[in-house]
Formats: sequence, C-alpha cells, structure tokens
Amino acid sequence: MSEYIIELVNLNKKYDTKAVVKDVNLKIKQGEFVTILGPSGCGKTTTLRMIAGFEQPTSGQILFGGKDIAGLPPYKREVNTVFQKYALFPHLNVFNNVAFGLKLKKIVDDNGKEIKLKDTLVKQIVYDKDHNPTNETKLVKLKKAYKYKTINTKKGAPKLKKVNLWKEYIDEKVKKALKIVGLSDYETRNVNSLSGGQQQRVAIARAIINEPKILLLDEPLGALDLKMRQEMQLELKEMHKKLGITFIYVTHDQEEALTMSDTIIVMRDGKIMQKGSPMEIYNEPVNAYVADFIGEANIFDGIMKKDKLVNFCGVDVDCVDVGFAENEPIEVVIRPEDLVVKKPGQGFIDGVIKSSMFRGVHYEASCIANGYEFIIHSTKEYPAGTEVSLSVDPFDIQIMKIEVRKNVVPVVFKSENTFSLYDEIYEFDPIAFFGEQTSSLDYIGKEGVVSIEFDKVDMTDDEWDAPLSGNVESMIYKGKNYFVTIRTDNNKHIFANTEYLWDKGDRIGIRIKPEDFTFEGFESIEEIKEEIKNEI
Amino acid sequence: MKFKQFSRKYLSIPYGIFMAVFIVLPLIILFLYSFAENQQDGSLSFSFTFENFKQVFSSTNLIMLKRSFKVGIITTLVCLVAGYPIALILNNSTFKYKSVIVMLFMIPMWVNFLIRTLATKSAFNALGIPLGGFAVTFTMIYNYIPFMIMPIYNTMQKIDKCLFEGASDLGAGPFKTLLKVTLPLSLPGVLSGITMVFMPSITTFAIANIMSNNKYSLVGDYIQNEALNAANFNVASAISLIILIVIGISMFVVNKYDKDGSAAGGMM
Repeated sequence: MSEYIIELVNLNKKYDTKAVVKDVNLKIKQGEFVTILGPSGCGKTTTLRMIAGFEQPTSGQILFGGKDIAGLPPYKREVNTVFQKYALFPHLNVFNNVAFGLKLKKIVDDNGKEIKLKDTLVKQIVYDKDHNPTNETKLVKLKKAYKYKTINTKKGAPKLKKVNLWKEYIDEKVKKALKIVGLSDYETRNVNSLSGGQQQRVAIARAIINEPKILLLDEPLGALDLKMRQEMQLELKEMHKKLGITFIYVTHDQEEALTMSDTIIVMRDGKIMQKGSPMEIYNEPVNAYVADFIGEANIFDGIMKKDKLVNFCGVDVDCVDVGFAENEPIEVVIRPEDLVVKKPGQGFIDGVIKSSMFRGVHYEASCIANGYEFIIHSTKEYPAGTEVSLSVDPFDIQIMKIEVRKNVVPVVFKSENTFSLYDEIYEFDPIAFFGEQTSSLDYIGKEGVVSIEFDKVDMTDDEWDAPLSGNVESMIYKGKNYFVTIRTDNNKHIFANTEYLWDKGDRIGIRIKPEDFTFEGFESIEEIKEEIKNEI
Repeated sequence: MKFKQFSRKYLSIPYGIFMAVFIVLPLIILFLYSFAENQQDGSLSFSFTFENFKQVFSSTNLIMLKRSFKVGIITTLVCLVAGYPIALILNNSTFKYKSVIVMLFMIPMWVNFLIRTLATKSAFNALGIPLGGFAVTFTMIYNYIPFMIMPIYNTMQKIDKCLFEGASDLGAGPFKTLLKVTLPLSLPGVLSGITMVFMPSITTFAIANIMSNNKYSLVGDYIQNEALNAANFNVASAISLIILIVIGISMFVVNKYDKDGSAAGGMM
C-alpha cells in the first residue's frame, strides 16, 4: 500500500472527440484537503466524477490505495460525494436521508467477503423470560439483536423497553453526524423545508456517515450567499480536521481554495497547470494564467537580462531569480499589494496615478508608468494626478518562463501563394518564404510549418470577414495589451496580443496579413514539436 | 353599472352557469331518479322508493357488479405490473428515438375506440381464441395500458437524475436505487395511473358486449340496457349513484397516499 490514498495516472476523458481531461497525473495523500480549482469547463468536475465513479475514464488509471478502481460503479467505491445541487431525497426526512447510506453499508468480514453491516453477527446477551440478563451470550445478526433497557417514564416506575441494537446503532450514528454539521434536533424535518445552507449540511452529514476514505465535494457552496459561504468554509475546514479523512474539493472560487486547502491544483483546459500549497500558488505562480486566475496580479512581458536582473516596462529591475538564458523572454508577476508607492525618482519606475478607489481594507490605485498600467493596493490614498514612483522588494517579483512565444501552426500549401491553415485558406508571400528560387520549388500540396507573432494576429468582430473564426477563450491583461487565447472552431488554439478588450466567449475572425507569416520548414508539426510548444 | 366597477369575478359567471346546468343539476336529478318510482308513462310525479336499489342488488345483478369490479381490478393490476417496467425502461433508456417509442404507445389511442375493439375481436376470431371473460379483460388492458404508462413515465421524467447518482454514491446498487428512490418518487404517477385505468375499466360499455357477444356483461352494459332499451332511468340512476360513491371512496383512499395531489390531477 502506497502512502497515497488516491493516484490518478494518465487519466483521460473524451466526449465523442472532445477531450475534457487530458493526461492528468495526480497523487493525493491520506488526510489531505485538496482543492481542484479552475474556470467552468476546465475538466475539474469531470475529474471528480471519475473519482466518484459517475464517469468512466477513456483511458488511464484511478488507483485507490494502490488498486485500480477505474471500472467500479459508484456504489462499490469507498468515497462519498457532496453534490452541488445537494441531491437530497425529497421523500425522506432529514434522519432518513442521513441514514440512507448507513443502512446499505457493507463491510469486509474476516474471510475477506463483503457483507452487509446489518447482517454481521454480534454477541448478544441472552435474556430470561422475565427480561433479566443471563450470563450466556449468543451470536445473532445485528439487525435482529436486541437488549432491554430501563427507561424512566414521566410518571410511575421506570419501564423495561426492548431496543433493537441495529436501530440504536443507526440512531446514534445519525445523531452524531447531524451534530458534526450542526443540525441536531432537525431529524424529523422535511428536507424541502430547510434553507439552502441547512440542506447542504444534511448533504454533508449524509456523505460522512459512512466514514468514507475520501469525501468529494463538487462546488458545494456554490448556491449559498456570501456570508453563509464564508461560514461554511470555516466549518468545512474544522470538519476536515475533526474527521481526518481526505477531502477533494472542486471550485472555481479562488478565495475558497486559498482559505481551505492544504493543496491547490489549478486546472485549465483539461490539464493541471500547477499543484502546490495556497502560498506557493499565490506567490509563485508558474505562468501568467495561474497568476491571473489566483488573486489580482500585475503581469508584464519582460526579458531576463542576466541572473538577478530583469527588464520590463522599459526599465531594468533587480530580482532574485537565476538560471535563465541571457535575454530570455519571460513574464513578470507583481501582486498589487507588493508595490510600494514612493516619491518620484525613488522607485524603479516613475508614473502618475490615474485613478483611485476605496475598496474597504485598502485603496486600489491605477498608476500609468511608461505607458503601462500598474494596479496598486495601498492603505494610503493617492489622488488622481499624483506623481509617484513605484518600488518593489526583489523577492516579490515573480519571474515565469514563457512556454509559447509565437503561434506555430501546420499548413498545407494549396497554390503558389496560398495555404490552408486549420482548413482555412490564407495568402502568403512566396518570395519572403522561399526567396528568389520560388519558381524552381515544387511545394504545392506539401505540408509545412509557419509561425505568426502574437502582435500580428488581427482579431475582427466580423467573423465572416476572416478565413478562420473562433471564440475568445481567455484574456490576460499585461499592463498595456491583452494576451488573448482564441479557440478556433476546429478546437485549436491561436494566441494574439491586442489592445482592445474582448469578452470571454466573443465570436471573432482571425485575419493575418500575407507578410506576417514566417516559414519554419517543410517538416510536419510533430517533428518540431519538441522545440516549440504550441499547446499551453 | 359603471365600467370601473367591473371586476374579474364576473368573468366566472358563464362557467358558474355551465356548472350549475351541466354538473350540479344532473347530479341532483340522478339522485332523485334513483329514489323515485319508475313511471312507465313518462310522467314527472315523484314517489319515494328503495325499489331501484333492491333491483340493483338482485342476485343476478350482484354477480354482474362483482364481475365488473373483478375485471376492473384485474385490468388495473395487470396494467400496473406490465406498465411500470415499460415506463422504467423508457425512462432509463438513452435511446435516441425514445420519444418515437413513447409515441407508439400513444398512437392506438388516436384510433376510434369502437373500431379498435372490433379489430381486436376480429383478431381473436382469426386466432381462434374464444370470446368471453378473458377476451374482455385482455381488450381492457390493451385499451387502458397507455393511461398507466404515461403518468408513471411522466413522473419518472421529473425525478432529478442527480438523486440516482446520490443513491449510487451512498452504496445503493441498481435494485436498491429502484426500491428506495425511483419507486417512492414515482408513486404519484402510479396512483394517477391506477385511477385513470380503474375508473373507466369498471364503467365502460361496449367492450364487454363486443368481446363476449353479450355473454359477459358488465355494469356499463347494464346501465346502457336499462336506460336505452328498458327505458328504466331509475335503476340506471341508482346503479350510477352506487358506482359514483365507490369511485369517490377509492379516490379518497388514493388521495390519502398522494400528498402532492398529482393523482387527482391526472384523474381527467
């Protein structure tokens, strides 16, 4: 048995042809509180549902305590789920909802055989005909076992009452579970008469009563209002400590993830972007996407001049990162609260405050410096128009490697000056591609690879006016421009830099001028994939 | 009357009149008729008597009454036992053309009832199956089973799919899920189906006549005979009143088990 309670090995899930979970590898320790965080459609819920057994993976393994459970139906797995929509049984009251799982509970007996808990044999004291206990015991099924108990009646002498041990066991367990979720005395209530928060508590009690090895929580607080959500966050954390079982929590709410988790897994587009403690994820995001998704961040393109010196927004700034190539393009993340406002000339960059907003605990100021916008969180107010200088502790500058530097795409040459790019026809400049010997080259029908700089991808809102069209999938603001990820209609990614703000989901067309394509070679994309990664 | 004073309640007047004339008044007449002496000459004089009820509960009629209830109960039970699994299978199926199958169960309903019954009779004759009690019950089941399937299927459709996932998650296999979740939650549909099959199957006429060559007559046929052939509206009224009371009682019992009231809604 390994130290990990659950391991996902090369887990894949496809619906028809669309891959929603791509090669996910994940190890979760016993007793960990793990949050899978990501925007809707990133594959987080599908991953959870595969662990629960509601979805079967297309390929890959789910190891539970070292054993592959990928083919097992949900009712044979030692995990329980708290559903987003609670999924309480409307025909049962609170008590019976909570007791539902317990009544069906199976255990493995001494011979390694699965047996219903209520059919297990227990020792029971034998009573004589006056209901007095004798010294003898006998083995009976738990559901048939009973004892006599003296009960104090309101008036008169205490009475002897026959108590079924199985019923008493269920009663105790349900009461304990309801106590954990803070719903004692609600046993006989109709679940439909409860508030959202109370229903969620019943759902949790119902899931923990069987003492699962893992509790899965699928956005359980999504339907609650803010106050209730914050309260439940703390309670869940408490419950996790008390129960000591593994929690796998799925949410799109980064604050929830940061508050509760031991480990956060950031997912995007079916893949794990980063795994780490909340501190690590917040302070050392691996890429601009994670930085942008978790908390607020100033993200800029930059160049690593040499070890411990980075250039961004037109200035050289000291940092602490080493190990990059000279002049390697990178991305810089500075959290708004790490920027310190000083008098002009005293920081690494001078600028002017454009606006300032009171946000409760702090002021949020926007500062324009060298044409780039910096967001600053400060407890002091700086009115618009103030000339300032920004300073930052070198430790608070997070440098991130860039995985994609330009679009690299496969094409098929269709004519002298056109090729098809993801099945759409674009024009190119043959002289720029192949030089003067163009006429001697027989390239029509051949496959090749071209690249396009992010800046050269022109997005238009008239999708009919452009060969390739798609949807805006995500956007990251980089002080001056937006870095846009476009998902084309045939499910490929194109990246673009634009100064215009688009909305997620916008329909756009992609225009590229003939002179903006750069020829990379005739090899197919697989051969050069090692060098350039086009997929995030 | 000023227009200002026009209130929406005046809109209900036509319905009120309709109900008075076509529902309340006939019920009163039915009640009176069943306790009135039969006037062969058609005069409207009223003299109170229990004679009609005595005639209804005569030994031959009693057999017919019992037989009617027997056929009604058997029809309802068979429809339930056969219809529930069909509804369940339809509901669970992920088959793309499921709605076509649901439709196929409904299409016979669009064929005229009499034609359908006569066609069944021809089929029985062609197959050499003797007409009589079995043929009558069979035709009833054939005619009324869609009224059992549809309400059950509809309530099943309304059960939130996540409840099945919830049950499975808590350790219930397919059979336990059926027993502990699907069955109790589809109960309103079952009750609705029972009323929709039971009521017409004890009062219908023509089916018994056609499918047994007048040898296996039921209450419906008896009423038809008394009212139209014998022109004895008093006995017909008395027996109608008895059936009305019986159905009323059974509805009351059904509604006791049906908290949502959906079965009563499905009565129509």
